[in-house]
Amino acid sequence: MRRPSYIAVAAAVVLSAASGAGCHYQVAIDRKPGAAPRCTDGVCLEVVTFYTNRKTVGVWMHAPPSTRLINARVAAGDSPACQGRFPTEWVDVDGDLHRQGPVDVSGGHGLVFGFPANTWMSHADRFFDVELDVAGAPRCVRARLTNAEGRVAVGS
Amino acid sequence: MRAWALLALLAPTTGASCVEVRYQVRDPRIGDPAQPPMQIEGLSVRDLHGVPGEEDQGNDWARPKMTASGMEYRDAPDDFERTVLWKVRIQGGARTEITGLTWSPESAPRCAGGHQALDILVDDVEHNSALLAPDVQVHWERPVVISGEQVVAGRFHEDPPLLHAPSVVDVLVVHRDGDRTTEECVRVPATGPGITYWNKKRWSFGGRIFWRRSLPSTSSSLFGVAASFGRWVGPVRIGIEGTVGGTSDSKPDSEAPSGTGWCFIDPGTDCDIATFGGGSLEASGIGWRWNRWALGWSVAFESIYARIKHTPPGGTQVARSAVSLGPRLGLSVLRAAPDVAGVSRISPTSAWGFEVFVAAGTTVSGEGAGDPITGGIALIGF
Repeated sequence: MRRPSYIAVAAAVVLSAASGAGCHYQVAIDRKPGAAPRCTDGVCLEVVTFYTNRKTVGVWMHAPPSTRLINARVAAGDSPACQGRFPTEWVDVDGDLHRQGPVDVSGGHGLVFGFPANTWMSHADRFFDVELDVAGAPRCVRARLTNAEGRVAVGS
Repeated sequence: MRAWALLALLAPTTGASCVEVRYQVRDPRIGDPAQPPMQIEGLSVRDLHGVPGEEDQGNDWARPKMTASGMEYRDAPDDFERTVLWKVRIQGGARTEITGLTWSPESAPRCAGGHQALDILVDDVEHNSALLAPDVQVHWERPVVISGEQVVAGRFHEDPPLLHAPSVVDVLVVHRDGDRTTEECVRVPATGPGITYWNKKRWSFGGRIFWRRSLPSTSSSLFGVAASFGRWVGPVRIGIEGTVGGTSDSKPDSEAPSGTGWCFIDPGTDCDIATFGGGSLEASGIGWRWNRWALGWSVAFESIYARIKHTPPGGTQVARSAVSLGPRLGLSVLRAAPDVAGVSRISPTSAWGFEVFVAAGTTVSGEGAGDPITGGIALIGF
């Protein structure tokens, strides 16, 4: 039986320690809108870009008239929808920066959400939640970012 | 040249006063009206952070924009946003809604003058990384809703003159009673008579780049660098310091100036060629401050190990080593971190500046062929 090399054993130990210390391999997607939009009751949300070594999430959203963006969060899978612990810090709507909400997002828009630096310290089982007000009615739209193994699961 | 290499090594420590400084209020005043109870918790000066809307992409900052063809990145200035962060402790009820904060002179009309908050932050951070996560995080939504007792912070444009004048933080609170909504502006005194502050700094890294006239073991002038790690205990920084240095070059230059004063940069035939290393236990602090200028002091007990090569005229080089022990006293003129009206003159701070020091030493091992009392000048930062 072949024994593992010392280098392989050492690498396993280092990787294990790094994982336990909160260091994870980076995952990302970066594509064009239209690949996998998910629509519910007239609101279509598609996560288009995110990197777990950056602080932004880029989405394309289409919403009915009189829709306002109230908030957005990155959340762990066990967090109730729209109550995750990482709220957005700023929102760019079609190139216009908004440092506070709410903001009108009726129609189709490209949005970039900025998040705090500690958002991705752990990136397993992460969701992206958008809190909307559609014609006076609150809505929470959730999109998966990663699965339980920490791999990209956008659109699943 | 050895001296310039050492200079480059320690240069970053002189930027010590460029980092964020947190002040804790000592005598807070309750806001007006008194319900819900609000008072200043503290502030962070030089609250430097990335510019909202921009993203660090490794070497460059870029402004991302989502378009129908995907994410586009536009060039952005390589810069930080320089702000002041005022923290207000609020003892709210089950639900307190905050729509805005304003930092203004106390003469300004309520909630209608001075600086509007760029961001509102709340202390509901999930600390999955105590190292990276701040104690408050931005809340983009309006109103910001808190429950019970929480700290709410407002991020404002840096305004040094206003930090040194009587000022207030106004908190705009929304009350709801059925369909009826009313707004109330609570004025919280931030700076002014009777309100004092103390720098929350505890741990501190520091450094020194110094010229020293001699050691107890050699009369040659030397150049050195030192790095220290310390903790503030009240107004005194207790630290340990490690130091290395020596004369320049590895052998005397016959065309160099005579005497021992220039051995640190261009040693002549009168110079020993020396290298040294050592450590010290140091206490230091701020004796007086005015705005960003300060007078500092330091007391240290140092031990130095030196290796010395001496070449007598016409002779062959002789090497020896020596260990010396002794006290060192220093006085410094410093450029300190930005402060705020009411901060104690002797409060901990971050600063950089020039120090003049004297040192006495006894050679406890080896030959003491230098000066028992000496001195020097240093560029210091902590």
